[in-house]
Amino acid sequence: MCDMQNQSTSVVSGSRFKAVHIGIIILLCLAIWPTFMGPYILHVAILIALNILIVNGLSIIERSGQLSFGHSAFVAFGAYGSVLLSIHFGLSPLVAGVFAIIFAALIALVLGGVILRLKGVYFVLVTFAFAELTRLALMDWSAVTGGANGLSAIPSFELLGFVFDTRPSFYGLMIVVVVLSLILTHQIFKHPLGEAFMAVAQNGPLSESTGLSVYRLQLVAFMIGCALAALGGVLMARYIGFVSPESFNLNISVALVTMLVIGGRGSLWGPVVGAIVLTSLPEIFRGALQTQHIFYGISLILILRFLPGGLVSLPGRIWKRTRVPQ
Amino acid sequence: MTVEYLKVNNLSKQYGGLTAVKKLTFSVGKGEIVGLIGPNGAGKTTAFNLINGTVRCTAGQVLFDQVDITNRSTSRIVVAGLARTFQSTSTYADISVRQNLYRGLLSRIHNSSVRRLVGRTNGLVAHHEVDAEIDRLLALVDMQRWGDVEAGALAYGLQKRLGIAIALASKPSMLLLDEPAAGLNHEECRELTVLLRSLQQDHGLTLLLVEHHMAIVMELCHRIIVLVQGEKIAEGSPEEIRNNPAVVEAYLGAPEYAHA
Amino acid sequence: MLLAQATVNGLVVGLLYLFMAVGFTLVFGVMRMVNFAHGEFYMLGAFGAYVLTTGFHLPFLASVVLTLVAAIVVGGLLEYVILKPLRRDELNGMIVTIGLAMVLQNGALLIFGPDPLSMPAVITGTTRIGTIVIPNSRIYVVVFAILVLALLYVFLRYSRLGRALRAVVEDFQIASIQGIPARVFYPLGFGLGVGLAAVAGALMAPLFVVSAFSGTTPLLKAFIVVILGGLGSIPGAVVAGLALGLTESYAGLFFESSTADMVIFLVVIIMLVLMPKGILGKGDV
Repeated sequence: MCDMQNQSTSVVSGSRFKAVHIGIIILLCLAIWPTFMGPYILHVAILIALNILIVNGLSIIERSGQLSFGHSAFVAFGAYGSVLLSIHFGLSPLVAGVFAIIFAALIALVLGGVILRLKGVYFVLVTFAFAELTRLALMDWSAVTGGANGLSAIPSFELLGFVFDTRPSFYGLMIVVVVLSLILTHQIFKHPLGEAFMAVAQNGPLSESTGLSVYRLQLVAFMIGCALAALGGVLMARYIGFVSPESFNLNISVALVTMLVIGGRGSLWGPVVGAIVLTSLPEIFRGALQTQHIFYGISLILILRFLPGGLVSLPGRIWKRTRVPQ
Repeated sequence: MTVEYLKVNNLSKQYGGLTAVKKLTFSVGKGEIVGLIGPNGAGKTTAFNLINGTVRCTAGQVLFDQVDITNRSTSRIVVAGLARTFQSTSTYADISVRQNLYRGLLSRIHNSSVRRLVGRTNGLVAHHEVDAEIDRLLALVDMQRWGDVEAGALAYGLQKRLGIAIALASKPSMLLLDEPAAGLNHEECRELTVLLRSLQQDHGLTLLLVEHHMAIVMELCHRIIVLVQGEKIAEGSPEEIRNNPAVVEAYLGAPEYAHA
Repeated sequence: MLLAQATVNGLVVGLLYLFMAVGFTLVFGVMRMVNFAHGEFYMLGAFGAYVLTTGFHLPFLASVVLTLVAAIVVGGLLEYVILKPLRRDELNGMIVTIGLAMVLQNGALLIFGPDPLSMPAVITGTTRIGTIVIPNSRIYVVVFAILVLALLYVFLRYSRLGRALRAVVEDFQIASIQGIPARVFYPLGFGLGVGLAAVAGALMAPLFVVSAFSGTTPLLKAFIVVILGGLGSIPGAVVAGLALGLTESYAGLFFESSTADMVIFLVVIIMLVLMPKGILGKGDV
């Protein structure tokens, strides 16, 4: 199959090979470290993992050329969907979760089918409106959703008889799920489907004229991305034990986009970096919440101004600057 | 008698009060090279956009290989065998030439979700044949040396050739070329003429070109259609067109016409 | 009558929406930027009026005028310093304004704290017209709002800069800028746009409480109105703004506000999909 790297001499690929291995080892250490650090850090690590999963979904949608500002709605569909299915149909967390994700993907199919003819800011605005509509519906339909009070006392996630009701066990589950989602994403973009997403994102008319249906490809990406968001919602509801419409408001949608942009669009690791940085910073800098948000705002502005590819693109930029010209 | 491979019937496009294309009717025979000429703003690119589904027609019909493709989505029309090149930004600038061509043949890759999504059944290649197919395309446009170069770093003439190669990557049986000679120097124009003739003669492609470069049009085309302000005013062989008084007055005598 | 009361309220709110929407659509038309920080300029305008009247004891009208001028200047500066490289870059420009919004809102939180503040009444008492009783404060606001709108109309219609702005918003042609240098044109477009938001905030400050979170709802309303009226259409923003204000007011008589809100968002989605050019069909797709 076609070599995807632009410039590859044996020397460079040799050192890159080692770098990948070292990187994986570092990541594994980073992943395991929270389990030794007590419940609070473990809690933050779980939140980071959930965010990585959800923003990963957003990233897939973005890499096909559309930016969704309604991602929080699909997290809500997963969360509320799986909990309600358990309550009303007695389904186990696993089965309820699977159905909720399918349900969310179907909504994505219908919604996307209608709105994916729109481009750019128009798509942004319509997804934004959809997110707000969803929140209002969740508030209003209180007989089913519990309205503003939401649903509480949600039982923990269960898989084949094993109940994940301790923090470390749930964290273990999250690590596995996150790794699987990253592998899935990596595979998508190694194969023709992901290449087609990127083609469509980079130049719609050109890709359309090579037989790639922009509409259908973006729809598939949208469904995958929303399904991942729903998966995040399913797990989040079982961990926190409580859902309410305010957990899925517009600020969350905007925060998810912020994580993606700061971490880095167009990259596998962007969501990871973005989620880690933006979820853990409030805990590291326990200053006033306002100061932190000002810091985020300034970071966003600076990133778009000087590093549009996000934090993930920083090593690449430095590497280019220090490379000896040929 | 050549088969009417592409048939355009009373094709029209109106933008509010402005008529960009008015009741355009013509056909292109299989294996022919036909030129579409006319002054700037005559509606030539709009005609292309209407034929290949980029823009919806206000009225009229487009038949390709006797199948009605009017207002079909562009990707479906490409899969049916009708591809086009663009006047500008016709490549993915920040990836290599090889990767550009890879993207061009994604819809043809056997057993891929893309192929299933797009619904293509002809001209398929297996995963392991992809590199060979890219080599074949590079050879077709004589760009073998440039395979690993970033598309945006290519000289203008080569970028345009890559654009043609990308269009060829979808294995079309007919090609719409939008001003392929624009911005090319004398040497590059000569190479283009050789390439286009080879595509028609050696590879059986049918070509419809929009072009201002009269020398190329006169040399290559079997027939020429003249469009002025959205309407066809003449059709015929190069000699007939060259000597047609209406055409000379409306276009060939005009200042922007050059290289005759 | 209840209906007449609702009409008056609807017009007042409609004027607010109109201001927000015209400013928003102006920024979009000039710079192709969906300004997520628009609501924060409303909020800053409200604080401006608050600080100038309660802190510096200036008359209300003077505070409003000063706030407007300050907003135009600050907006212009912000555009020049921060937004310049992203002019007409739709998606990235929009994301930058999200960052700007975060900075402005949290800056206000740091300075003024989270508690809502009340402005002392600008004018007290009520006026009776037939059976309708209108608080004088609302009449005050409506009169000033109409004055500002009249000024805006004159500016956009008769001044060279205003005509150029309108031409760019309604149908972007670089030539429309007509010899006005870009370094003046863009900051002014943005400044004027957010200035309108600030004026809306200042005028409404006596009617509602003032807090750092005041800007969120006006931003949403601006989105809705601009989508209904067509992104980039000033007449559309005017018509849709008043229409939304009145519709909300009337709907409030018969429906629960949550249902009305949901219907509005559903209408917004439908509008974007079926009529992206807005109800007047003059939007800039």
